[in-house]
Amino acid sequence: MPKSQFIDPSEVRKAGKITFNPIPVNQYNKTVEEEKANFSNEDLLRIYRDMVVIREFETMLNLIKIRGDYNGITYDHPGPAHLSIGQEAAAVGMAYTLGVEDFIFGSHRSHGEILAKGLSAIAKLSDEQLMQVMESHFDGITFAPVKNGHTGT
Amino acid sequence: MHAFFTPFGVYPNNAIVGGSGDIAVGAALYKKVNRKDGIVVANIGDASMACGPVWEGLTFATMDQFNELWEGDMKGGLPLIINIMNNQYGMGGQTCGETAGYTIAARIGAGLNEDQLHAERVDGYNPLAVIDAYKRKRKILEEKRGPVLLDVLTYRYSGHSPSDASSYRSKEEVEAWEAQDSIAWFGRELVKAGVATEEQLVGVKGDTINLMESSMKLAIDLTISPRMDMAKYPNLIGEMIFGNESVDRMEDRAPDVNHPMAENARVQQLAKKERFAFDENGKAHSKIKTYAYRDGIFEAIIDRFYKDPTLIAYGEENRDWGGAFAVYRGLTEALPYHRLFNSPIAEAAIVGTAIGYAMCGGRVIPEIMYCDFLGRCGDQVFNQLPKWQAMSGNVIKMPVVLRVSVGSKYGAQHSQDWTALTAQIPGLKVVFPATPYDAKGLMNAALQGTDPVIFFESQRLYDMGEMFHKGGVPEGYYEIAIGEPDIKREGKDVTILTIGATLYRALEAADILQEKYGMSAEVIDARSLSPFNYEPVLASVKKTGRIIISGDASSRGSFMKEMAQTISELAFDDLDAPPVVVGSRNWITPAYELEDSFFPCAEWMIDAIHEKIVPLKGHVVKNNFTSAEQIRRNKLGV
Ligand SMILES: Cc1ncc(C[n+]2csc(CCOP(=O)(O)OP(=O)(O)O)c2C)c(N)n1
Ligand SMILES: [Mg+2]
Repeated sequence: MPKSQFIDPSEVRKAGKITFNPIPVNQYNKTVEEEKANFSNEDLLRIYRDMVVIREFETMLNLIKIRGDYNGITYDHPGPAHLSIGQEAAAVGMAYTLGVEDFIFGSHRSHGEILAKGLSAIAKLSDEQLMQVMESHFDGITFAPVKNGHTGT
Repeated sequence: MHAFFTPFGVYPNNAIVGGSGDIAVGAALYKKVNRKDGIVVANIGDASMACGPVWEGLTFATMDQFNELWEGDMKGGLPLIINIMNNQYGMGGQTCGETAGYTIAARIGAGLNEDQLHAERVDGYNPLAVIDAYKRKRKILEEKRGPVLLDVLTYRYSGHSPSDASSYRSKEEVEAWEAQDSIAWFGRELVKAGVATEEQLVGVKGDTINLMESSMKLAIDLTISPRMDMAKYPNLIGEMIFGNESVDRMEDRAPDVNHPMAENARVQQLAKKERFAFDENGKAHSKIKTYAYRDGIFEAIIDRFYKDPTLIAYGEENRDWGGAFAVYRGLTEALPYHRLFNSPIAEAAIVGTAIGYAMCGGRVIPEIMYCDFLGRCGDQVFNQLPKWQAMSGNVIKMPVVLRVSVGSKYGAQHSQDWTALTAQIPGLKVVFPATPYDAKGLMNAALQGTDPVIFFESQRLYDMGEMFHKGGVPEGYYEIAIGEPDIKREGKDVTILTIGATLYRALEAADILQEKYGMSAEVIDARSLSPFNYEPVLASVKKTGRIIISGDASSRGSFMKEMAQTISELAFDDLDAPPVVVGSRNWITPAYELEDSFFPCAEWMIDAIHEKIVPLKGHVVKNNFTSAEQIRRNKLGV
């Protein structure tokens, strides 16, 4: 529509063909050994840890749903739970390089992505920044339960 | 399903499959237009790639104009990664081999633009392969060559939900994937490469279990993590539906504009127009001289464009054309492309991207050219736009004013008034001004707020001058409170409450009632549908004891019926007869030449009053408003 763009019939009516470039499929082929140049041991272990956290979180939800308890802690959750057990590497890989200012949107099956992005953001924020976020977000209501005596990492 | 944590960049997840496919595009648009750091990742399922709105989001995200027409630092692609979490299944439908045809989802990129969306399939069972892809693709986005499509191959061992019996896949298949489990494999690789010891990995697992146990205890302990106390605060959810804020601008900085507002040709033309429809002798000014309904909307919008740097507007033919009904004429000259542009013919993406844009902190006016096209953005208008403020506990704002034009003279699929569809949905404000004064004031109010507003306009009205407000439409800024009806003509014998353009036919009816039957009608223009203050209507009914409600929507299930029911309940003791609805027939809208048999007119209103409320002396009815006919039509469903 813009007048600045002239649609020239003698150009667009010419014979020709559309060509496509090959689309790479699973082309990555480095070993962990090779990647040690790009990642510290802590980085690699953190990637592992993040995957384990997601797996365990969803395992907990699954057990609550099917058994009503996780390691002896009972709870009834009649609502839904769409789990992604098995997809942890995809979630952590997606989130690992993202900065706090990068946004993710998700689906009904996004616990893993949220945890991965959250853990990635936590790793990038200083303790002061984190404290500031937690105290101001939702007026600190979401922070309150873990503010005192939380034993996790 | 709806979890979010915006301080960490975790934006809402969506229980509607593919729901993020257009919202995330709008978020990327926000980042680009407002020069914000960061990229946007849309995590969506492989099966969601079949959804219309996802395709619409992709077509929107790949528009040539980002590279061909947007100027200066705005030139270039969106900072967006469409990240397909390809677990190879929908719920029970297998994409590759059954419900899709792409075989490998990355193929989709080839159909969208010359860059093929820089698409790639990545092995999502190796976290390092995915990280590697993100490092490479981020560079592409930084070079403004986005968007990017990643097809991240993965697999879920868990069912779609815990009740899933996995009847759609074999045990062998699940076991084969479990045998290649990414966590177990990666752990072994770390040990092999001397990065970690077995003990360390066991320690990670142990720490994680402790973390989950302690977190779960805290989360389920209602003294520590109390639920919302609906007993103590019964309106708590209600209070989250709207923010009811008043915000001049979403951000404080100079807006990108092409010239000072005073230099705008349309603004200069309007300065010479007659802001009241009639001269001092009551004679109508010529159409060319009259400040019209479309001008009222324009004035409110251009004013906000110069006030709020985040404001953008788009829709079909919005730029050079000036919008199909010339509301935006003159804006093209005033605004750079990134603030006013033509969208693809993709109503779902028009509204969906606006939702994403607003979620991130921008104000936006998407436009749906005809009300009849609302169905094309059903999910966006019904499930997304109205919900996210309350679903986020009001952390997220939704300053979206969705302009929707109700057609006329245009037949069955271009002339429908679907106001009821939107007014029925909690979380939307719905207005339908009928005069230039109201149009400008309501648009100002809509743009000053941070709540989603469906702004209905009518193609019967765009040329109409101001006939009511003394002194004409003010040149300066003013707001009309959303939710307040307006008495357009005072009377004492019967009330006619109208929605939208029907107002003028009600005034005709009021003239006839006065002249022929000596009955004085009070005409009230609803102006808003939701919220709606019934008090002025009830006060009117107290005086008149009679009311008809008229609008151009097909009457069955219309908002007129909602009003009739509410008024019956609230004004029962004041009413001589039940409220009567005079809406359109429950038919298809016929061609222009037959419209008189479909839309309410003055004659229908008078016939209805005569038949159902009070006999008018000497009146001969032309239309059948009897109860028997009403029963017959309902039996037939017409
Ligand atoms: C619009 C819509 N249709 C159907 C559903 C029901 N549903 C929930 S998840 C799902 C499958 C989605 O598959 P995919 O997009 O591949 O995501 P995945 O669940 O595999 O992560 C379906 C059909 C829904 N939530 N929304
Ligand atoms: Mg899937």
